[in-house]
Order: sequence, then C-alpha cells, then structure tokens
Amino acid sequence: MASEDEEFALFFNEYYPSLCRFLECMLGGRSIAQDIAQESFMQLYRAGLRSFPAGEARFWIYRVARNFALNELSKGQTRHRLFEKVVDAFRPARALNPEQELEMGERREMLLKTLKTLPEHQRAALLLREQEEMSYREIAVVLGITESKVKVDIFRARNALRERLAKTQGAFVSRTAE
Amino acid sequence: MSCHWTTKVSLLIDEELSREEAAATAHHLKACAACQQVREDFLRLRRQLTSYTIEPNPAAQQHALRKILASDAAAHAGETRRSESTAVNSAIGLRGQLARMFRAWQHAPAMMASVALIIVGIIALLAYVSLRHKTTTDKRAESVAFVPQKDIGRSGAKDGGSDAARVQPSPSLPLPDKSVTPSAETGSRAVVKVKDKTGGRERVLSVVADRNARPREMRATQAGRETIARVIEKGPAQGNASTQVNVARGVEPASVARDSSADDVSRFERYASSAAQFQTTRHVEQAQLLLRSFRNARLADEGPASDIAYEKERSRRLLYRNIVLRREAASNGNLPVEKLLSSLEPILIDIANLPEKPLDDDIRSIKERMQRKNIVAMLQVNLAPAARFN
Repeated sequence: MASEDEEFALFFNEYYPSLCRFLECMLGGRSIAQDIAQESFMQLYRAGLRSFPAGEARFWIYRVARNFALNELSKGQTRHRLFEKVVDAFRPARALNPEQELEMGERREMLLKTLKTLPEHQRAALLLREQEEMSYREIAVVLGITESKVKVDIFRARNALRERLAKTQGAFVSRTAE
Repeated sequence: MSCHWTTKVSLLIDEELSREEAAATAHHLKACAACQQVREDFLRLRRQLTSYTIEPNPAAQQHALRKILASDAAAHAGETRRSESTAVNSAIGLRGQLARMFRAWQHAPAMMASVALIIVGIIALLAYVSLRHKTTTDKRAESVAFVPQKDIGRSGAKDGGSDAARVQPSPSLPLPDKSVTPSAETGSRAVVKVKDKTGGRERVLSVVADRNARPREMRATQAGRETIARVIEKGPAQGNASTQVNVARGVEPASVARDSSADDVSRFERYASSAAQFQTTRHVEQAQLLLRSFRNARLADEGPASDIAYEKERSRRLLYRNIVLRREAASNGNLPVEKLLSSLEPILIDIANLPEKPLDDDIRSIKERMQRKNIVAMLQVNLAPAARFN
C-alpha cells in the first residue's frame, strides 16, 4: 500500500496541470493561477487526501480553487495582471514555426478575452464541463449549485461564446487571409 | 435563427438526456438545419476549449510539490496553523470542525479521557460484530450441500467431502485441465494446485482456500515474460460461496441451507456488498489516476523520457486487487463492474510487465490501446455512479 505522501504526489501530478489550466482560463493569468493552485493543494494536503471518500478529493480541490479565484476577482487584484501575461500562457505542446505560433497565440488570446466576457459562474461551469469533463452532477457539487442551474449556465455560456467568437473569429480569418 | 430545441442540443452533446429524450432530439436534428448549425458551433467551441493546453514547467511543478510536502514537517514541529481562509472554511465543513475539536483536545484533559473511552467502546463493538459474523458464516458454510462433479481432475478420493479431490472453477476462471494435484488439507483449508491453460498460456495456480484466507502468489510463466499476480480466496463470508468455497471443497453447491440466523446472514451480505462497492470505487479511482499518469508519461522522442517505475509498481498492486474485485463482481452478478474491470485488467498487466527500461514503442502501444478502449473515460464515467453507493 502506498504511503499517504506517495498517494498525494500521484494525485498532485495528475491534477495540478489541469487545475492550473482551469484557473488560468478563469483568471487570465498564469502566475496567479499557479499560486492559487499551489495554495489549494496545500490545503488539501493539510486536510489529508485519505480523509475524503473515493473521488471526492478532486471535487473538493476544484471547489477550493474556484473560491480562491473568486476572492482574487472580487479583490480586484487580478485586474492589473489580467491579460498582462497572456502571452506566457500560450506555450504550445509541440514546437511550431513562428507563423503557427503567432496564429495559435492570437486564437487563444481571442478565446481568453471572450471567456472573460462571461459571468464568472457561467465561465466556471463551462470550463469544468469542457476541459475537465465533469458531469452536471459533479459540476453542481463543485460550484455548490443545483443541476438545473448548471444546465442553464452551460447553455447560456455556449450561446454567448458562439455568437461572440463567430464575430471575432470572422474578423480574425479575414485578417489572416490578407 | 432560434429553435426551442437548442437547449436539448446542448444537453445532447453532454449526454445528459434520457434515452427517450436523446432519441427525440436526434430525430429533430435530422430535420432542423438551425439546430444542426447550433450543434456544430457547440462542438467547435468544445474543440477550442479542449485544445487550450498548457505545460507547466515540470521542475517548477515538482518544486511546488516538495514545498507542500515539506510544509507538513514544519506544521508538526509545533508551528501554529494560520487561520484558514473563508474559501477553505466553506469547503472543509465537518473536517474543519474535527480539526478544531482536536486543537481544543490538547487543552482539555477531561475531553481526552472521554474521547479515549469512546474509542475503546467502538473497538469493542467492532470486535463483537466481527465475532458474531464469523459465527454466522461458520454455520452457513457447514450447511452447503455437496454435489459431486464430473470430468474434473480427481486424485482418487471418492467421497464428496474431499476438499482436494475436485476443483470447481469460478465463473470468471477458465476450466482447468485435468492435472489437479491435491495437496495437504488441514481442517477448513485445502491447498489445490491447478494447471490452467488459457489462450495458449499455461499457469500453475496454487490456491489456498480458507475462511481466513491469505493471498498466495500465482506465478505465470509466459514466453519471454513473467507475470506475478496474486489470487486471494475468500471464504463464504464475502458472499462467494459459489466460487471460493467450492474451490476449497471442490464441489458445486446444490443448495444452501439456511440456518436460523438468516436475517443475520442477509444483513452481513448487505454489509459485504456495500463494502465491496466501496472497495471497487476506491480501486477505480486509483486506477484512473494511474492510467492518467501513464498516459502523460513522456517518450524519449518528446524530450527527457519519464521514469515509469512507479507506474509499474502501482500497476502490479492494482492488478491483484482488480482480479479480486472482478471475481467478486462476477459472483455477485454485477455485470457492468465485471466488464469494466475486465477491460482494465489487460492494461494493468501490460504496464506491470514492462521491462525496467521500456522502449518507446512498448509504451506507445499501451497508450494507443488505452485510447482505443477509451479506458480512462470509462473509469471516470463509472466512478460517478459507483460513488453513489458509498
């Protein structure tokens, strides 16, 4: 049987990158996302990974991280950091040529900016569904809302992004085609 | 363009509709161009969001981990905890209350004494319950009727009570060949060696059946590779009378006579069932973590290759538990769980069998297999409903 530290390390290595990604999309900055992710895992470690029923620790840590993110947003401290380090967030998985990197970077910037236009609860629900592949029930547990609210938030987020991205990406396509 | 079906389209792509609603929505999609466009747009948005990947610096990630692990030592050195943030307080709930209770415990000897008394009482209660159940299962096992089996290797013993004479395989095990070698039998224990040939591989199973069974090693020799798996045989207390007890006694029970404590048996079976479900949930969670870690392992052509020794070791440990739980599910008729664990088992075997320095092709082939079977998603999907049983 693995020790508790070993289990925690496995859990950390598994979920730290995805938690960072979630927070980065929520807040728009990498450094603050990593700070909050680390603090969230610190709290989990102190609480004890084994104290949670099977599968619950993951929901708990996303809930804690999201609450930290809410605190940051409400304090307004991220206002100065939002999108200042957007370029740092765009590290592609594989090496691309400069043109591809630029295009990918611009697309991601557009996505982040468009995400920012969503209300926080819609943004969180959509990211948990699309990026973390959580079910509606799991999202409701993480966000502390009902499943009906999750359904509505996700649908509204999709509709809003669909319209806004169509406009901005249409302009992007026109620009890159020149 | 708008259609009142667009909300259903959103639920459809998330697989959150019932079967009837999904069928009705799919039927509507065939005829509605507007909804088809909506669906395409939603799926395109999904691709954009999922393609947003980041790769944190591995060195920085490990540094963060070490910092967290080191913080525990500082806390144990007597450093007082700083107050929790409201975000954590709202999430910890009961856990926070217990932590505060334990802090108060340090300053209240009377509370210490009462807590110690409570703990002693709980231990005594658990001991009583386990003794009572042991008595109940002993009675149940003795009431099993024996029916001799045909065409199974015999050692010459003719009476139906000879434990070592015959072997009745569990539903999930292939029929053994006829080379059954009886071994020593003492009391309620029977050691049986069975040669098992499945898929062209020959394995020698050394099975010890005992009500308080201990795991024994099963060495599997395959061409060029060795697989070590453990088979644990449980007594009838775990509800596996049709398998493990028969392995011990080599018979098929024609009927199970119920003694006067049938209610106790049913209560214990429910307890055993919920305990098995909890173990399965925990196992699926750990398997999912392992497979995700293995899936993220870097190959040599992608940069510094990841060391997968930990995944190999972990896979070995999970493999023996997977075998146990799969058989448990099979004997309980839990087909979905059995199917899930059957899909998982070959992956665990492959990872556990990797050499010390595996080739990229070996790792890649396992990853591709995982992707084809979509095993990680299967585990995640099954984890949610399984967790409801806890």
